[in-house]
Amino acid sequence: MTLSERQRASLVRTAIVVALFGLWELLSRTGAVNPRLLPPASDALATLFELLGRPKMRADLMVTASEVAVAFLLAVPVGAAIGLLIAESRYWGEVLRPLVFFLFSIPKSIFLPMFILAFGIGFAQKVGFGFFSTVFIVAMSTAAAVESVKPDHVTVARSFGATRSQIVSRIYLPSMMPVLLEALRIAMIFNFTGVILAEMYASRDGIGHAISTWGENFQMRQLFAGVILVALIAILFNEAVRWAERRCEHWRT
Amino acid sequence: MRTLANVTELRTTPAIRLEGVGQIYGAAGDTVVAVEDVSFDVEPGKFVVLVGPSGCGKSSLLMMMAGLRHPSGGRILVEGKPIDEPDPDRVGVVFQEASLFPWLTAEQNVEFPLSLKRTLPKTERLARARERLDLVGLAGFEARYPHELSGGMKQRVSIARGLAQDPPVLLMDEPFAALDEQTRMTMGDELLRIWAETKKTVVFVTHSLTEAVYLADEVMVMSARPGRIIDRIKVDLPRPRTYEMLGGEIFGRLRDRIWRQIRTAA
Amino acid sequence: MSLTPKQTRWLILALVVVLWEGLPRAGLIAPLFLPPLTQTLAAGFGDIHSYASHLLVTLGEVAVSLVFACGGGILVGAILGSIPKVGRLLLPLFSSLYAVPLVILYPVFTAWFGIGSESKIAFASIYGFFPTMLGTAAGIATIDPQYLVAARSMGANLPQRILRVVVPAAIPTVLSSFRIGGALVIVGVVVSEMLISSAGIGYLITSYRTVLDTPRVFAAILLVLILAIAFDGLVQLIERRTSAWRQSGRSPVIPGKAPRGSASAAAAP
Repeated sequence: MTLSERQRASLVRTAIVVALFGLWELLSRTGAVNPRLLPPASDALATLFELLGRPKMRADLMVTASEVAVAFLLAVPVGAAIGLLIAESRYWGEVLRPLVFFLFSIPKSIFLPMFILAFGIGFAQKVGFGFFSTVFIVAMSTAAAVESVKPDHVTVARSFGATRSQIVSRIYLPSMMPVLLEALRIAMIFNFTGVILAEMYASRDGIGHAISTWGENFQMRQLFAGVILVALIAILFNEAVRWAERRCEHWRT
Repeated sequence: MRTLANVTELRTTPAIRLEGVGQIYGAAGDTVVAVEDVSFDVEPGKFVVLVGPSGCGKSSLLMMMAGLRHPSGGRILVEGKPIDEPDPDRVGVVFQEASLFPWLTAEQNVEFPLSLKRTLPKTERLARARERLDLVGLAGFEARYPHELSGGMKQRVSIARGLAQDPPVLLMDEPFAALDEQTRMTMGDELLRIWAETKKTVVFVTHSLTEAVYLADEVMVMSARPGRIIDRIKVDLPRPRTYEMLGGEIFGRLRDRIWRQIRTAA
Repeated sequence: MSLTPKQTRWLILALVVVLWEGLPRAGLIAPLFLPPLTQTLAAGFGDIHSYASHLLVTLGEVAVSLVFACGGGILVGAILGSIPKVGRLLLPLFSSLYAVPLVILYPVFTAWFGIGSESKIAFASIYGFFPTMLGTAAGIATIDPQYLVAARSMGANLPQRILRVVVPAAIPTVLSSFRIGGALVIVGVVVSEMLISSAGIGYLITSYRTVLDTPRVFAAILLVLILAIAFDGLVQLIERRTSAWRQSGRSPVIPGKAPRGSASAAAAP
C-alpha cells in the first residue's frame, strides 16, 4: 500500500515535469513568449543531442569533469582530516570549530578573483576554487559524522574485546555512513557549483565557459541545451547518492 | 541457614569476587567518591541483583566487573583471575536499552562478538548466532534489522549477544528499564528460563524493587554516594518464580525491607 | 599547551593579520596576488565615494531580491509545509532542483532582462528562494501536532490556531531560513554583478581585477564580507530576541563538546 502510494507520487512528479516542458513548448510555439528568447523545449533538446556529438563539447565536458574530480579528491581528505581533528581532539575542536564554521558560512564566490590573481585562469584555478568551495563543508560534516557515533556502541564493542582498529572499522565507519553519504552529496553540489562558476567567470574551456559564451552571443538554443545538460548531470548524481542514503537511513537510529 | 550457606561458599571458587573495590572520579582536589570499599562474592550459578538510589554507583560497579573501567582501589576477580580489561570469554554484558548496532541484522549482531576474534569459521559463527537467537525465542527473526524489532525483541537479541561466547558470567545493566510493564514482566520470566537453561552467574542492576525480588537469589542494596553495600538480602522464594508470588506475604516483606533500606540510604 | 582554546584562536587570527601585512611587505608573496592589509584599507578609504555609490546599487538590488526570495520562499514554504499531501509530492522535486548549480541560469536572465539590475534581481531571487522555501516548509511541517490538539481542546478556532500557535512556533525556523536565504541573496547579487554588469560592488571587483588593481579588489571583497557578516549578525540578533523560549542550542552529541549554533557569533571578531 505504501509502496504503491510512493509509486503514484513519483508518477505525479514525472507528470509535473513533463507538463512544465509541455508548457514551455506551448508558450514558445504559439508565440506567447518570443521564441527568440525562449526557444521551444523540443528545439533545445534536439540541440543538446547535436551538441553532445561535437568533439569540442565533449572536450569541454571532460575538462569540467576532471576539474570537479581533482578538486573533490583533494578537498575530501583534507576536509575530513580537519573534521576528525575537530571531533576527536577537545582542544583543537574548541580552537578550530568556530573558525571553520565562520569560513563555512561566509560567501566563497567573492574570493574568485583572488584565485585568478594567484593561479591565472586555467585548470589549477578551477581546482583551487572548487577545493576552497568544498573543504569547509567536508570538515563540518565529518565532525558531525564522528559525533553521530553513539558512545554506547563503542562501549558494547569494547566489552566484547574489540581492538582500536576494529572499533574504527566496525563501529565508527558504519555509524558515520549515513551522515557521510549526505556530506558527500552536499560537498559535491558545492564543488560542482564552484567549478561551474569559476568557468563562467573567466576561462577558456569547460561547460561553464560554453554556457556563458552562448549567453553573451544570444545563442538561446545552445544556452538552454547547456542548462538542461548541467541540471541533468547535477540531478542524476544527487539522486544516485540519495538512493544510497535511503538504503542506510535506518542505521541512524 | 546462614551458617550452612557460608560452609558451602568456602568450598567453591566464587564466580566473582570483589575485594575492597573503590572508584574515585575527578582530578586531585576535586574528587567524587562514587564507590567505596565494596567486597562480596558471587557463587557460580547465582542470580544476584544490585539495587540502590540513582547515582549510587551500581552501574559503575558493573562496568568495573566487565573490565570496562578500572577500580581506583581494591581488586576484582572473575573465575578466580583478575579482570583488567574486557574478556568476553569470561564475562558477557547486556546494556541499558537496546544497544544493538542498527546497521547489522539480529543474526549479525549476535555474531559480532564472535567475529572480533576469528577463531571460528564464518558458517560456524552464524550457526552459533542462530542457536543463541533460538535460545532467546527469536528463531525466524535472524534477518531482521533492529528497527524492525519491538523493544522486547531487541533486548532478547542483546541477551543472545551477551551469551554469544558462552561466558560463565552475564552482567546486565538495567536491561529492561526502557520496556513497558507487561513486556518487562515477560522478559523477566524469559530471562529466568534462559538462566535456568544455561546455568550462568548473573549480576543484574535495576531500579525496580519488584523486578529485583522477583528475579534474585540475593539482592544487594547500595547506598547513595559514596556507593557501599549496606544490606544483602537472601530471597528464599522457591523457583520457578510465578506471578502469584508477587502478591504473597514473603514477597511483600522482602520488598518492604529493601525499600526501607534505600529510603534511609538515599 | 598552556593556552586556552580561545587564546589559541585569537593567536591564529592575529597571525593571519600579521602574515597578510608581513608576507607581501617582505616580498615573500607578490603584492599583485596579495597586497598588504594596510594598503588594501588605504585603497578602500581613498575611494570611499566610489565604493559607497556602488554599494548603494548593490544594496538596492539586495533589498528587492530579499522581498522576492524570502517573501516568496516563506509564503510557498508555509503552504507546502502546512498541506502535507502537496508538500510530500513537491518537496522531493525542489530538493532535486537544489542540486543544480543555479548560476547557469544567469546567462539566460541577462539575455532576457539585459545587464542592468533586473537580471541580478531575477537571479538572486531564485538563488535565495529555494533554501528559504525548503527551510520554512520543513519548519512548519515539524510543528508538534500536540500543540494544535491542545489549542483546539481549549476552544481555539482556526485563525486563532494559526496566529497563536503556528506562527509563534514557526518563527525560529522561518528566521533561520531567512538568514540562509538572505545570505544567498547577497552572494547572488554580488556574483551576478561580477559576471556581467555595469554597476555594483561585484562590478567593481571584476573591473579592478581586469586592470590588476589588487588592493582595490581586496577592499571590495572585504566590503562584501562585512555586508554578509552584518546581515548575519542582524538576523541572529532578531533570532535571539524572538526565540528566548527555545532551549539554547541543541545538546551536544558527545558530552563536553560545544553546541554549534553559537559558533559563528563567537567567530566574527
